[in-house]
Amino acid sequence: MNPGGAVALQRLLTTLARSAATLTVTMAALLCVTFALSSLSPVDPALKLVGEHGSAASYEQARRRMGLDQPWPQRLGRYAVGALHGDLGISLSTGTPVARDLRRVFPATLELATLAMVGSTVLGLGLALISAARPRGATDALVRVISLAGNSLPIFWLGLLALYFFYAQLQWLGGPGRLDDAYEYTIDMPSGFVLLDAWRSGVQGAFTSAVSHLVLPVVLLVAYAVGNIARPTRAALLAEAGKEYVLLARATGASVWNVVLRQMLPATASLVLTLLALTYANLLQGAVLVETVFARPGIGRYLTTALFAGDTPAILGSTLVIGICFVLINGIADSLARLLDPRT
Amino acid sequence: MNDGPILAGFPGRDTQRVRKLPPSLIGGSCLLLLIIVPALLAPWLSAHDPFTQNLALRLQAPSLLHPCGTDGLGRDVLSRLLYGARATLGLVTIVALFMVPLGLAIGILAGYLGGWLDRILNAVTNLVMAFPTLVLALAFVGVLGPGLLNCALALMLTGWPTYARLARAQTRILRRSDYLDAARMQGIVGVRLLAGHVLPACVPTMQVRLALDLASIILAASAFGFLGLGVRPPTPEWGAMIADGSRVLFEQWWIAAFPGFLIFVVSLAFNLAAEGLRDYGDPRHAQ
Repeated sequence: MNPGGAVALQRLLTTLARSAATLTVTMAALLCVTFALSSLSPVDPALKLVGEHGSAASYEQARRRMGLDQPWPQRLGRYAVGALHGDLGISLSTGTPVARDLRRVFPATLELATLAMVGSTVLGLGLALISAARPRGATDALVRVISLAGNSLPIFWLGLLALYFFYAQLQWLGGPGRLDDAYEYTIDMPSGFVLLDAWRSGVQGAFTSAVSHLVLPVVLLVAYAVGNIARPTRAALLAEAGKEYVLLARATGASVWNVVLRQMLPATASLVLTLLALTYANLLQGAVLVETVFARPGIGRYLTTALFAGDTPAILGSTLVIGICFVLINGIADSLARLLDPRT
Repeated sequence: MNDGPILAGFPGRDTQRVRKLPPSLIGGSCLLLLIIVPALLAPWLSAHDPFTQNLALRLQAPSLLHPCGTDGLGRDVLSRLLYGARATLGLVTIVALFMVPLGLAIGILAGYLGGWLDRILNAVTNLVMAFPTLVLALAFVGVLGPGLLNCALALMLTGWPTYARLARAQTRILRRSDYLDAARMQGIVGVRLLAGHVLPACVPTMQVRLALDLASIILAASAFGFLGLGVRPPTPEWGAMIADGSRVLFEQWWIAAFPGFLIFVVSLAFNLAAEGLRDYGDPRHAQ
């Protein structure tokens, strides 16, 4: 075995081990936070289960069955073991296991966030390249405006305005919900991904309906994310542009785009990767408000419905799931970036 | 001034050079004044009481008497917008007043003392930074109950790590510097050293970060209001007003449109100010 390969393998293994350790600690901390919140909640879950008019005996029994009579270290252990086995408790408002509810609504959010991610990555990197090639040009100014607006506009308000103009006034696009009413109750949703299910159902017009309901939420999320990808990438590219290897490459006769795409972009790859992961994770978070405004049945709307109802297990279950995705995406990107860029 | 040579080149103290203020800083500050002054003068500026209901005049379109129309309970929207600015700006002020000192204290202590304390505080900082802050803040308010105080607490508890990280980095740079040695030789130690000599070095980067954060805190706070987690009704608050307006969006769009526009203006003002401050502190960035 050649020594270079062995060193590279060792590097890979240490990086992976370190990332796994960080991820585990972060997840454990997240679990502790949601547990602490559930203990701090003024809502008594046993009382909520038995009801105001339940007898004292059944109240005691519910408390004991839920393990509420035990000291907190035991309850934390019980909570953690349950969460690891996919048991997030019973929703106080619907009476179904939170984990089952979440499995049902999660694909919709994943679909929305992923479509927005694809859109904002393509648009964001494209705009970054153009504005870095011509600083102070028209595209550069546009990127600045998009980024300022994206970071200043309340996304739920923009969503409402978009609904008003494009759905109520112009009637170009679908309104609230994920499908027109005609399809919403007639199509099976085995996978939970609305585009896929509408396509597979073969029902005339169902797919078009799904697309027309998706356009506004996706465009909104893209508008919000694109500036946060384009501006830092542009800054990183401009920082690279001043370096000697770029001058050398240009001096040897390589074209501007050749240098930008083949040399400068790879040099900023680890930064861009971290940036994209952060954007994706934030899109999952941002979907909470967008789903609420557009009444799309995803994890975000599940969370806000639970917030209205004061349904603690549902609130904390969805927080935990969004949190785990958030931590995982950032953690994986972080270790990939480390492997890509030996300097870090 | 006898401390001239020591402070030469020290960030934030270069009073020799007078630079032009960037236009974005001026623009942002003017926009902010446009919101803050009317909010302070709300009782004198508003022609109507923000709480008085008049069901005969509900959902009126903008007119001379009610320049922004009336809401579902016949209350004057303009007066509620003026008073609503107080809730939003108040929340932001409370959050900034507690979050920044907390973060700075943790960061400076960790950076200056080093060792185990630094490791623990740094680990906690990184941990909180790895969390999805918006969702965690939502869950916090959702579980502990709605209200201004819980919103402020949630935003503070998720917002401090940035300042801790900034302050720690800055403090570690200064820790072994001649500048601090000189201060120590004059007998300045302990809290006086940290507050008088380390803290000022953290201010320039912190200002930019705070302005950016305030922009996103405004958005988060209005999202709390929109989801019904903010101040209790009937107290006017912009996010809650958007939620009210969203029920009659397709017929009376202006009820939701005005408060959202004001949220946008305040957030934009903070973002512009942040850009201006950054360009002012580091002119290289302005290109």
